[in-house]
Amino acid sequence: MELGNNIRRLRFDNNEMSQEELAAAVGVTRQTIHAIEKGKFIPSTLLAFKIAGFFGKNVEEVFHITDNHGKK
Amino acid sequence: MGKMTTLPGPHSRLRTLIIITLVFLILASMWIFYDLYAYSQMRANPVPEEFPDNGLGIGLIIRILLYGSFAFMMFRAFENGLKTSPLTVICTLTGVVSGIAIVPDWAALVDIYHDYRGAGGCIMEWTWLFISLAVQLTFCISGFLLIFSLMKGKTFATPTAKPAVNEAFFEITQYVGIVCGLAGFAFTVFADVSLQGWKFGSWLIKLLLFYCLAIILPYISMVIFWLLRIARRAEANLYDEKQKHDLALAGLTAWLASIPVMAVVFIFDYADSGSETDSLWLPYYMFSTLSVFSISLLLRFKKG
Repeated sequence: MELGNNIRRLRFDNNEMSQEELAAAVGVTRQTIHAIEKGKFIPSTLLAFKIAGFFGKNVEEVFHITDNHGKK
Repeated sequence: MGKMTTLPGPHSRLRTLIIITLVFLILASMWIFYDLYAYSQMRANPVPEEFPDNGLGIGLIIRILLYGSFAFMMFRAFENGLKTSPLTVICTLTGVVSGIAIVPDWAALVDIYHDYRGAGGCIMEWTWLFISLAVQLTFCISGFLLIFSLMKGKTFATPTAKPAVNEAFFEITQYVGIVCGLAGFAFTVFADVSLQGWKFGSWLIKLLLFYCLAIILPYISMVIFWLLRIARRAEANLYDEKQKHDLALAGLTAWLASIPVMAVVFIFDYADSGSETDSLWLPYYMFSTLSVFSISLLLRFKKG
């Protein structure tokens, strides 16, 4: 089980926002956003809410649990 | 001067520091060639009575002023969103190495002065001094390139993309940690091997610890600057959470790696029980953990 996310797509939908811009908006580094997008780093609950809030979504709409084959 | 207006944002302090650093950089570059001339003269005419009269001390003072202003300029540039690039890394690392080299340069010149009175060859000291000049030259060339790119504002992040936590400075700190750690470890091994037959007096231990302090000083300066930046921030979460995570894992890796390293040091000390070099366990520990910690942290940072 892994934590998947739609951050990349949401960034794209949000005027093709860069990772740096999202990072600055939620108060973390670009590396952190990159690692979360790639599924290499699981964000804290607070950061997950910040990211979801920035896009005007619920956390479940941004993050989801997947099995090891990438299925939701 | 017109090109400096392209610097992003209000950078008056940075501009002042760039100009000061540029002046010292020009002087230091000229002094490299003067040093080269002075060294060749000294090697050709090793007359003890005339030996110290050649202005090398002024060159060392100019270098100290240069590295001081360069450090302040870099701190300010990082605060203004300077990005890491190969040029930034090369310039910082050669600056750190040649900054540390001031102490062994001075020691080599003193050794040469004393050994020349006894007609010694000083091959190792001369080799060191010429290597040091080569590093200085690399630093000066990369320093000029970096200053020109700072003037043009090319190496800065755009204001909208400026991160809340400065990852460029975080990354550069790890590079400096690796260089300081490896240089310090190499110095400790060298001191351990070359001083086996010596009787340690307290003065020699103090001198070795002074060298160790000089080697680790650039890293400590960066960490202090980092902590001061953090102390000025009002938020409860001072580090980025991935940085915290990486710091914790790098700390664990460094601690685990320190066990075999210190076991080897212990075995050698035990085999040669009562050796005067036993007291070098502290620099061994300090520099080995610093190297592993910085390498581990940088790898985790780069891996994403």
